[in-house]
Amino acid sequence: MKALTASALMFVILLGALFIYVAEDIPAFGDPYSPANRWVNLSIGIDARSHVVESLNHGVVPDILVREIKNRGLPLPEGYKVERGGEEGWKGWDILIPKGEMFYPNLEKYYFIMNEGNRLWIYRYSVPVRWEERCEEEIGVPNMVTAGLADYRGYDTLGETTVIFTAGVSVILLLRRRGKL
Amino acid sequence: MRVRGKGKEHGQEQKHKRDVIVTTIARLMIPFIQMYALYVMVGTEGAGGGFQGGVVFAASFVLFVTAFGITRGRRRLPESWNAALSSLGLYFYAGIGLLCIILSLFSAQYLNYGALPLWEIIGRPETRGLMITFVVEVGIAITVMAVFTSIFFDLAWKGEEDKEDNKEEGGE
Amino acid sequence: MIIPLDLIALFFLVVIALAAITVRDLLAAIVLLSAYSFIIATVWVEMHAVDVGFTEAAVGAGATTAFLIATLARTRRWEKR
Repeated sequence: MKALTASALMFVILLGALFIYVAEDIPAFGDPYSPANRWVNLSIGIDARSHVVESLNHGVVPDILVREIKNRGLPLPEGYKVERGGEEGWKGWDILIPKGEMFYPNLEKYYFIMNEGNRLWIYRYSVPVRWEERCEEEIGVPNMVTAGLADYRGYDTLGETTVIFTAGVSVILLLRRRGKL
Repeated sequence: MRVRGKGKEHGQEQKHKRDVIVTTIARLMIPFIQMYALYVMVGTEGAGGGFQGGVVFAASFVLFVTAFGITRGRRRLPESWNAALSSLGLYFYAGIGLLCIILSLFSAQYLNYGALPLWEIIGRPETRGLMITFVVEVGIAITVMAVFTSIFFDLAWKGEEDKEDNKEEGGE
Repeated sequence: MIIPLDLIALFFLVVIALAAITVRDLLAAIVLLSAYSFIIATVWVEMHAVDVGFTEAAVGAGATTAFLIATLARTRRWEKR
């Protein structure tokens, strides 16, 4: 057993163990409560008085809501489209980013308001929205594509690099019939 | 002392002499291509990252092989180096992820660069940026460069290698 | 993002793809594929997708063409009738 093969074998075992550990660490895909998908509950409880609900139904964001969001320092939903929406069991209103805004060609869910026990709860939603806003302050990389590739989707790029490595090794095994690996 | 069986092959080698123009141009361009690959690899401002940098670096090896021939290319980047480099890059990437867990005393998740002890000194975003730019991107680039070069060497190697094999088997 | 320019380039790509299939000389087919990836890279950069364009230019024109030509050295140059 040559030294190189022994060390290579040991490295492969180490990498395999690492991947098994990592596979446990990744939150289940599509799990609504994993960090990437979970919407953030702003825990703003506004008692669902009739005029607030009324203006929501008319598609206008009530100013009491705007004030609440403003003192939390979050982007203001003034003048955005309000739609009745939400998946089953989560009936409420979606405040959508207007179509054609610079970064969002199609409608992105910005805030999501739900009426629970006549109190209005507001949720922040949609992963790309969060990426877009928090990228500069969270990752010191000026280029957002690199930030997305290397940090937000670090697992995917790790898997992709492993795929490239396996492709190289398989070509080596296939094309070299000299027996000397 | 001429090695048996090598003389005739050298005679053959002279038949298609290396073209002077191609070699000089290649000798001029290869360093700049590699410098550009490093710029693409590390500079996260512009387009391109580890993968593109690695491919451009591999392209400089392809140019080296087309200009100076496969045997000199293989001498420049031997197989052992090629195999070692292609796994080294992956270990940079996976290793730094593991390091985040170990060095932060098992309090951080895998690949969470903000948790490295460096963050007290220069702050979390800067540590993430530093780790991404210099460890992750360079790791990907090393793997991609080694893999692309080894694929190209394997594809282009058929001519000389089989001749030597047959000669050696025939010779013994 | 000039729409007519994109349309012309994409139409030209279809022409190149058809030519690459029908031509008998394999080396010409490889060169056509290299031209294909060069044009698609320009189209992507023109559509403000600079990263993708850069990758396509580096991989498509650079590495893939070199691999194909190296493979051509192993097989025959002319496609069988």
